[in-house]
Amino acid sequence: MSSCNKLNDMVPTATNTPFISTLLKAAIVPGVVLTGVGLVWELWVRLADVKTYLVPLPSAVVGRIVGDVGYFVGHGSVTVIEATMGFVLGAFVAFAAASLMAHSKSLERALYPLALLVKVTPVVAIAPLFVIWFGFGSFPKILIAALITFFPMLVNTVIGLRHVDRTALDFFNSLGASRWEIFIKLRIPSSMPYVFAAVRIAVPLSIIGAVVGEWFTGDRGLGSVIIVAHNDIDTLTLFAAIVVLAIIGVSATTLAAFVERRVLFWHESMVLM
Amino acid sequence: MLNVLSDIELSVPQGSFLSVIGPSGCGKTTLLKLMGGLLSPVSGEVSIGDNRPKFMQERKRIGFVFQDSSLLPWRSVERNITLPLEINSRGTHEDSSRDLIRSVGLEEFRDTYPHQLSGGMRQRVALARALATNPEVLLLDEPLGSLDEVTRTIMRYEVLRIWSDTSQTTVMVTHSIPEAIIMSDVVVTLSSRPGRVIGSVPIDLPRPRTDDMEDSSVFLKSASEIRQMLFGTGLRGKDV
Repeated sequence: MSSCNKLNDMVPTATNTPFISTLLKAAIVPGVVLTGVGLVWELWVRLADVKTYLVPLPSAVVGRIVGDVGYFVGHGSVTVIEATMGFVLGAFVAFAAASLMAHSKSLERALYPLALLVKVTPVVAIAPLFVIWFGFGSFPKILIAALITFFPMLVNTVIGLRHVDRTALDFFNSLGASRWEIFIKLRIPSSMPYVFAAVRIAVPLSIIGAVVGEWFTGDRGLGSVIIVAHNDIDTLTLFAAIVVLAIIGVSATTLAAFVERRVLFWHESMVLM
Repeated sequence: MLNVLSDIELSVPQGSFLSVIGPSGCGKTTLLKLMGGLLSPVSGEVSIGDNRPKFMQERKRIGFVFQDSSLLPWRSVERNITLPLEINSRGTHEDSSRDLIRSVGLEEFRDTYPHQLSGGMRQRVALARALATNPEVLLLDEPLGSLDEVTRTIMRYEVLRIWSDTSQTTVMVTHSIPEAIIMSDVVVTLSSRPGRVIGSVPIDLPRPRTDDMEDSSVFLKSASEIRQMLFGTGLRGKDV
């Protein structure tokens, strides 16, 4: 967006900072805190003589990851791809359903109980069934991630598409705009703050969905790494997988926040930052 | 159903500037929405020339300005002004947006966004947007109502200057008696709910209007006439 450059000359908004520097800036304080926690933990395990098969040394966990980077990156990327595809699928279906529901109250009454049913049923309970139905590939995991993404995206998008400035709507109508034009040029942009509020919730959820799916079919992905390590009482690998998952989660959330700031540069929540 | 307006008999000569003034909730905005085709009258009819407001609306012959500018915050100044050209391609229009950005004095700000503008500038954009399709009728719903007194006074003459270039038939709703007088050819007073026309006051001031006219006897006479219609003779602070 070339117009953003000029914008920055006038008002100091955070719209134009590149992703990497955003990530670095956001990482300094938590990094210091994390290092502190790690140090305390390390000292505690060493000085209190804690059994390392119960609580491994942080330095050993880091060593486990660094010593076998290929292994963790390989399984990690499987989880990331499944979570991403699940998120995209869930968000896409939610947006389509929300568009229908936002236009018709009776359609909303018909679809909402179904959506609620999807929400209240724990994903962990459905996951084994999906594995039976769809086998051992990536598909059941993508489906689980999609399912867990679906509800928050749906609810917020419906609210967002409905929550339109009345006067702006009057203005569109005063020019004889069609429902489609109002949808594309007014409703969708107006819904973005709500959609992104849901994205913040749905991104970490989609990773949870993928990992839960992998628990039940232990061949690929960090979920399966965790199950195998658990069966072997290999606490070190278990911790390493958890740390890698945490890194993935933080990166995904930061990426989502970065995209949000780019898209919602005009919104009051961003202008005040 | 709420009876907001009744017995409204009003005609606006082509090319003239008419203001409607009255207490809050007297249905001024409803009246404007009826004229703009955003509402349909329960009984009676509204016509613009020989046509119904709906017909004019579908051809983009009506320009609206609202109290809160209702600009789209995700669009730049320029893209807000050209919005009416993008929608409803069935309606004919001339593209006068380029000249408009200049005439409202926003050339330097064409790439900025509404949240970066002051209230007065936002209303300039809203006015330019309303005029972008070169409509026949301009409907102003308290266009300066959200501005501070100083900006508001300056903007009155700004709006008049821009309006004088195009001379749309204009109906403005306002709460301010001086504003109604200095801007209009005719001021119509409405009573409170259900709104009825109390009377209309022709303003005998030459155009272009200037701010020293606010001290003229014509201005003061019109103001007292309007006050008389709205309040009768009974307004009085308590005696000490």
